[in-house]
Amino acid sequence: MAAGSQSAFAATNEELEKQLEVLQKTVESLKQQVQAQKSTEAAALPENVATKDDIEGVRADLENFKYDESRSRERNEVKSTRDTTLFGVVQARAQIQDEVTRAGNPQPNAERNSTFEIPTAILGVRGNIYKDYKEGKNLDYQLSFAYAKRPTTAGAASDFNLLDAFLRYNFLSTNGGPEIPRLNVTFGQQLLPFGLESQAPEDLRPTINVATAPALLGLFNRQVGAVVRGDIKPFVDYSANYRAPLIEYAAGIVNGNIANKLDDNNHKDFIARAAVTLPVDYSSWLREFKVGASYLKGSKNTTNAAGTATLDSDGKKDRYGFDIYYNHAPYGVTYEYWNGKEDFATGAAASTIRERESDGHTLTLFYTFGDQFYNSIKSIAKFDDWHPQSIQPFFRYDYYNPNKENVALGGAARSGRDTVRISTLGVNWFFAQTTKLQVGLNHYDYDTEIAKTANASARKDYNELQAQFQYGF
Amino acid sequence: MKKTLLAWFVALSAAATLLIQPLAASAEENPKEIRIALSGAGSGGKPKLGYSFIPNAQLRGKLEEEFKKDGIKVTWYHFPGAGPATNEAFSNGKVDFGWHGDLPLIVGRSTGLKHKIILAAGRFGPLYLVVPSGSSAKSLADLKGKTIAIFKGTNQQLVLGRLLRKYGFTESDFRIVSQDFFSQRTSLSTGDIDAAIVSPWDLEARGVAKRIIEIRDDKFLNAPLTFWVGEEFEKKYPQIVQRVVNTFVKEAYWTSQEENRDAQFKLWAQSGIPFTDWVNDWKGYDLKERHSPLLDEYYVNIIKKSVAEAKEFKLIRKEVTVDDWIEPKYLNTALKEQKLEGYWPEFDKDGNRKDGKQ
Repeated sequence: MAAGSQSAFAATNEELEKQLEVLQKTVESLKQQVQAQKSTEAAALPENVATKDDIEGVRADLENFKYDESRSRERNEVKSTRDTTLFGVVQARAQIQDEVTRAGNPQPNAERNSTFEIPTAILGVRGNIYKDYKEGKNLDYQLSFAYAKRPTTAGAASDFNLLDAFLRYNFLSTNGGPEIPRLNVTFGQQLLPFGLESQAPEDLRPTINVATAPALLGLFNRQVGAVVRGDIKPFVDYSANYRAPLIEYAAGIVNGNIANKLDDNNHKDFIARAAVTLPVDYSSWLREFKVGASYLKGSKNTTNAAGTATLDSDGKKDRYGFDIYYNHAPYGVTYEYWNGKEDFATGAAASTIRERESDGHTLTLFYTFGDQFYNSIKSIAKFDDWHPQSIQPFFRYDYYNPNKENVALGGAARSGRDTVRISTLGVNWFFAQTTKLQVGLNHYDYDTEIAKTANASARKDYNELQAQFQYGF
Repeated sequence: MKKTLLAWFVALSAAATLLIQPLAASAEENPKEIRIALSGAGSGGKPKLGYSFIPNAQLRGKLEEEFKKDGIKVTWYHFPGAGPATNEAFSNGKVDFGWHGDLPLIVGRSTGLKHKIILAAGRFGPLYLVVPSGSSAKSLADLKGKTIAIFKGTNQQLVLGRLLRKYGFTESDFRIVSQDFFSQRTSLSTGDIDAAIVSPWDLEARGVAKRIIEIRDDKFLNAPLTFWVGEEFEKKYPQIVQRVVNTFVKEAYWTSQEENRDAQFKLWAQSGIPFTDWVNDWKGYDLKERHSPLLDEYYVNIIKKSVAEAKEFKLIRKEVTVDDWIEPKYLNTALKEQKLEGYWPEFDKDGNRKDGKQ
């Protein structure tokens, strides 16, 4: 039984070995077939076809990106309810002059020849309240604040005053192309559309110091009210998409009592401006030649010399302006004339009202080496933070006579002896997209010099060298 | 103190003079720099483009190679502001050569820009009218009264005029707004405009827009692109102009060869327009026909037609004559020197191949 069984087992083992051999051959053959099939498939698969693994990889990357994006948006990004652009302008200045001064500080102080200062620091937002994609009749807004020194108060505190706060609605299409006229209304606190320099925001003013006449005639002050601005018959040269509106106009009504105040009487100020630009092609040497005229019919509370009583709540405060603008890069010229007529109290008892006439004008000549003012070059496609560097030497002559007739005025009102002529030789160096270094050498020439007093330095003709970085973001 | 200030002033003036000096160019036999304007930029404002042998030469550094031995710098300006920006730059003496579509080229000429046409640089090609994917419009008729965006001042303005005329419409049947090329694509995807003439491929891939008109065989919808040289530069440096043309003709030959089809599309993809978009756009076209640099009867005739259309659409105010504007001598010399006469098919004024091939 056992032997028989062993024999039987032996036979079975042989058979099994044979079967195993056959099976090994079969497996080997199948392996070769599979390998051959894989090779065929691989050969048939084009290189640029993504596999399931590739797609899974891309999908995983996409999910990671979406997660990172939403997490970053939730935790690290500033959000707003409406389209908002944050902007700012800062000036950092150093200046030295050859006559001492004490101006700009509370008493007691000592005379100085030089100082560093931050004359301007503005922070603001602007954007759309409503964006009309179809016709571009957008409702825009702007809100900005500016730092201001406290020259008569001790301590390091400064103010942060409301500057612009307005809404602007465009009645006509802003996306229909350059041939469509513009018309909008701006409601709120804003710059006045008077002349050239007065309506240029702080970052676009061409020189370190603003022109004297509009500064002393109050034309740089923001006012609260409503102003309509627009143009008619725009001339369009499609060769360079150059747009030159034949007539630009503005008309408005404002309180006339500067910014951040209610009206101080029952009379509003009215302003109007019109300007004509020559309708010539971009390649013409007369391109960007504009002549404008401005008028402000204002009223003021004419007070006694002490400023304690109102003699007339509808006193005269009118301004007239004329300007020429010619900017044919690389060279340009601007000229502005201002005239102001304003009531003041006169006489020993300060009970008589007389009109004071002021006038001033400013001529600025400039030449630009570099491509800062060519839109094409400025907006060129680039990988890095390249911006065309430019150097702009300029000369400015600024004249202001606050009292042409030398009317004897009471109180703090200025007299004819304040006539001043300022000649400036300067250079602007635009070395980054929103930053410039400005250097100016000013010569102040007064008609009348004033002797030194206990609390104020003498006023004499003097020279002043200023250097200022202005950056924006 | 006054003396100190005077010294400061002198120092300031001297510094300004030193800073200014390098900016002032001096006249020499050869220019120090060759400045070429390309009327466009890649996606997102990249300084890379495709479409023609002109940007192809930039992508392969061929002009730089040619002028390296002379120490002449080659500067390429890519203007996102397209043709009008090229005109502005040329008008202010900032560029020497330009690559332009027909309308800005013609309008520039009408306003007194002085240049000479020396090469045709890209012709034919498809036209697509694209609408948002949710739009129910199937034809131009369905878009009557709706908003179509174009980049005014570019050749797109004439293309739209021709398309509308082909289907019996005028601009007044629609509301036409002006948007740059990037804004058109964004506005289509957000549905803020109703149609635009744009390349549809990536928009369709994202499912945000679709073609309702595709025309691939009308040779008079898209006018050829043009390469020109400023007259002043040409007069001063004719030998340089010839070498520039020689280099571009060599590049036109390279781009016209079928074996380089994919290679050039891969180069052009650096502009941000994907390789597959170029493949789709150029499918079925003969590279030799599209890359022809010839100033043949077809070229002259279509530029004359474009002048007439620009006048009709009130885009130019002064006459523009074409025959005295074209300067073929540089091209002819290059073709002869490179033994390429007869390589590119000539077309007659009606857009038919003169060799009779279809």
